[in-house]
Amino acid sequence: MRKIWIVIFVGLSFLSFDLPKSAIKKIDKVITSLWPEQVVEKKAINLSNKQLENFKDNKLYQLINNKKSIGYLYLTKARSKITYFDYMIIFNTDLSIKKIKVLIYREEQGGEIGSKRWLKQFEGKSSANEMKFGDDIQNISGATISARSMTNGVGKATKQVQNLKLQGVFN
Amino acid sequence: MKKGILSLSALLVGGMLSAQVVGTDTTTNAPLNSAQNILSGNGGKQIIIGGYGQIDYNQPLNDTASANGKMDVHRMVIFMGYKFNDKVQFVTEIEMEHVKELYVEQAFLNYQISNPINFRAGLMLIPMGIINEYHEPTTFNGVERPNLDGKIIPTTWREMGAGFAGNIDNLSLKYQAYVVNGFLGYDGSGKLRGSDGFRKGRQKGAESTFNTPNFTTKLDFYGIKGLKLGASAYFGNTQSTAFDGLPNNDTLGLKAQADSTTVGLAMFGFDARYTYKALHIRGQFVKSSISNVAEYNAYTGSDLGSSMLGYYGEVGYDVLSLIKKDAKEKLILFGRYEYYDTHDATPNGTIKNDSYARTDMTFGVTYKVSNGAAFKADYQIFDNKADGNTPSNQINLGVGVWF
Repeated sequence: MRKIWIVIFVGLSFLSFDLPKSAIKKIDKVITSLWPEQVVEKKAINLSNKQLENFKDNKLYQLINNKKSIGYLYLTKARSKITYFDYMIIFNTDLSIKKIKVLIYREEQGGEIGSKRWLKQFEGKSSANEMKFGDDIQNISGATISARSMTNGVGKATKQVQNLKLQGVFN
Repeated sequence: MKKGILSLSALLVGGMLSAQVVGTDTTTNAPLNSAQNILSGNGGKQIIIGGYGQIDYNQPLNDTASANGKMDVHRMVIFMGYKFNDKVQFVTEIEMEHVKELYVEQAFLNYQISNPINFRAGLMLIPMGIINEYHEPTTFNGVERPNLDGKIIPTTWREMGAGFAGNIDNLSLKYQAYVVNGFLGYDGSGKLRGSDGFRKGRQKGAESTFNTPNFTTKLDFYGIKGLKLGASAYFGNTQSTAFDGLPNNDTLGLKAQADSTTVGLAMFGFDARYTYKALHIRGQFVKSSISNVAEYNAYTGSDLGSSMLGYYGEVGYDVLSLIKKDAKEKLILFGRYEYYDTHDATPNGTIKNDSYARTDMTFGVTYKVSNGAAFKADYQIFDNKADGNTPSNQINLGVGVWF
């Protein structure tokens, strides 16, 4: 009998999400597409108070399959012209970017940054890569404010997780 | 009253500019206005204030006679965006042109029904061409906006309307579709003319006359890295005050007369922007087909064309990137060739005016000292197809800011 593997949520850590259902659905859809037919748990990572201070509103989860760490899920926000948008980064275990997806885009303009093709530019990059906007990362005409904001945010995120690694958080 | 508005706007702008902290958000490096959070209520509601300014010096060059230059604070625009909640935003732009004329450039309410579907209503920019939607002075080369966009598109083209817009992420496609008010072609006399088409017919949301809806739509594709392609269309008849009060049982043929005060417009635009590191290329093509022009010209005495055509190609290169690898500033050398003809075709009874078939060449430099600030300088050569016409030249210097 064929068992159907589904993505399951580790209850308590999941309740700390303050994203709407639609966003959470998106996260799970991405995880399922990256690891099809595998059970992936999300486990909140414990940070010290000092680390949390630097981390601000961002959220970091370890992704686990068969008791092994397969990656990390990073949830964060960045500014658009008059408001902010929510997006996620899935890191590989070596902290290079596996996938980025915009979860909630609120602004009436700049939504082009949700384009899968544009977001592909970040894949494979890590804190070792320079992600200079307009150079390493191409702009999208008409969405410059959000595109620059995302690029800077992603650059900062890669450095942040690298710092946490050096502090032994992922062991 | 006018003085009051002027001083209030000046105070507002002055206050914003002086209070401006040229700092950046440490999380995003997005430029921060000190005016952000200017009004913070519960739930983090806030109004965002920004703006742009275009300051010009135009100096025509003349071999045979002295020519006065013109110095103009061409545009000073205040942008305000207010987020009511995650789904509802209000966006407005208030513009001061030539220091004296106060206009509203945009004022619309945007409601996000679901991620790819926004409904918006109010005074909106017509999505035709590049400049009409994206005209902050630091985003285009040249002190002045391209004449093609001024005469044929007629930027800044904004009207009252309602419709839908959104981004379809999987297709890398942005769409816009609005029902809008059209140009006012007649208000006792004809407003449309051969030299600049529909420009004088823009209603700009100021107590506009409406008797027939127009429709506009645009698709933008951004699936290829660095490239943005746009295709726009606009359809509709112009508005006219001659229809007001016409009885439903028209036995005097007044409706036929009123019909002669309107024209039908079908406009198509294609635009492309490509950036690859230091290279910036853009191009645009616009074609307008106008119907009922023979009747309109006969009735109003105008010389409106029945077809208008224009295109331009521009290349720019940031030469500073060659000299200094991690330069924060940009020095863009550019050249643009434009052709625009508002008499591409004329109806029977209207003589084609060859001076309306124009070419502009612009060569210059945009020195971007910051993401939102640039010094500009360019040299323009204006020519047209009129018999024996000698090209005229002009130097422009300017400052562009966007914050």
